[in-house]
Amino acid sequence: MFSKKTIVIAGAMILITLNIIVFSFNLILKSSLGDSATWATFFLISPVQGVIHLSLNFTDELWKHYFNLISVSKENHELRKKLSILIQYNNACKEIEASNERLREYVELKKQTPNRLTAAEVISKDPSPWYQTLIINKGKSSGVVKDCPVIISEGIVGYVVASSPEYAKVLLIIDRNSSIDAVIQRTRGRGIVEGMNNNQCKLNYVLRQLDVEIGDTIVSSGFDGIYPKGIPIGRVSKIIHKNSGLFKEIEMEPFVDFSKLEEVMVILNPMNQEFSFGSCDS
Amino acid sequence: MRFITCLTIVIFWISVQTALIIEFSLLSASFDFLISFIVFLILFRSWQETWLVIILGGIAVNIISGAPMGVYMITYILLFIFFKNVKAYFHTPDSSLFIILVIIGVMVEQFIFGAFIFIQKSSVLLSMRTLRICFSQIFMAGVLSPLMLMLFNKIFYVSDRLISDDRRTYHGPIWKHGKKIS
Repeated sequence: MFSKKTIVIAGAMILITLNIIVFSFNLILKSSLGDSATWATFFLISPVQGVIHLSLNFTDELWKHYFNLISVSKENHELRKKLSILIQYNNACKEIEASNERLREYVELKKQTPNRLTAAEVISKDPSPWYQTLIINKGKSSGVVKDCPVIISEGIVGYVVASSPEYAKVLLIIDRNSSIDAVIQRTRGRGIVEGMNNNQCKLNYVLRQLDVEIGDTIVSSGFDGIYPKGIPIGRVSKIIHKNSGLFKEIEMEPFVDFSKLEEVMVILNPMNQEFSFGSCDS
Repeated sequence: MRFITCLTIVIFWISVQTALIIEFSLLSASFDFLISFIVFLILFRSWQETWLVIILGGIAVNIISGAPMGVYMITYILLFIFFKNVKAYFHTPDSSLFIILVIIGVMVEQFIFGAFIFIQKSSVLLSMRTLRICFSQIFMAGVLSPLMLMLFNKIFYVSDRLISDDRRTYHGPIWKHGKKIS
């Protein structure tokens, strides 16, 4: 009835018309249809996409971290190295600061006294806990000879009992064999300071009638021929009152912390001159 | 070579004890390390080496220490007299014997020091601090002596091997009863 050509043209016309109709409807009902389609599309595809994306991300992250770990590990190693160097540097700075502080005190001490002083480092201590000596790195070549008093800014450390050209042995005041002629700074009462070997000393031969109080400062009297007058030794820590006897029993705590001795000053010309320690009452 | 080894150990041991160990507050009352070395020499080495260490070590420690001159040497000589035949009487493993003798040696030294201080100052030293020092030294001796035994064994093993290697590589004439053999 219709030719083939007519059917094709009619079909095309119908399709174009239908298309125009659908487009027209789509424009009219855009919101509801579009939203539904979008929702449906997302509902079906997005979860899968999400999973794939996550997987990819996971793989990507894993991949990146795996390779990064190697570089991070290297970087970590380098940073640790740098950190340890900085810690060492920091410790060295602290040591220098502490040493500087001590040396400044010694310079002050040197200014205060008319005696000739030389600084020395403590290099070793007595191998036996029964005796209290130490070895310093200055000897006869620096003028450090037997009987030279050894002090620090806090007070008396001891005196030299033996010396070689480069080293000297110092008997500490806390050794049992050490004795110092001393006076109580406040009352001027005399006594003999002897070591007790337990980082403490005792003040012997102090007359009973003398006024002594806990906290009194003990200084050298200068009569023993070794220590110049007026160097602080320690502080009275305990007084044992006895009912009989001529003398008081007094224990005292030295000003010097012997466990932390690192540098000391040796008095090279121990004249019987008075020392003027500014902080001996503190 | 054997004597050089002994002297090296003496110097090293004294230095370690006086300059290093003494700085650690935990070990500040540590025992005399030379006792362990002398006991080792008495038990396992020749009397020549032992006497060398007793004399030179005794003098060296005494110079460094504030102890009266000769106290250390007397201690070491007494240890030699006490311990020289001990191996014949006590059939115990070498390591156990070594530890026991080091501990006894430390106690003997404490006793001698106490006696000397008593003679010097006429005062008895029995205080809590004295007892603490004694117990701490005995404890340290018990703990450290096995390690020291291992160290000495190793050092002398290496030293003896070096000596035997030296002898093997000797190319000079060999003498026997005053006559040159080759």
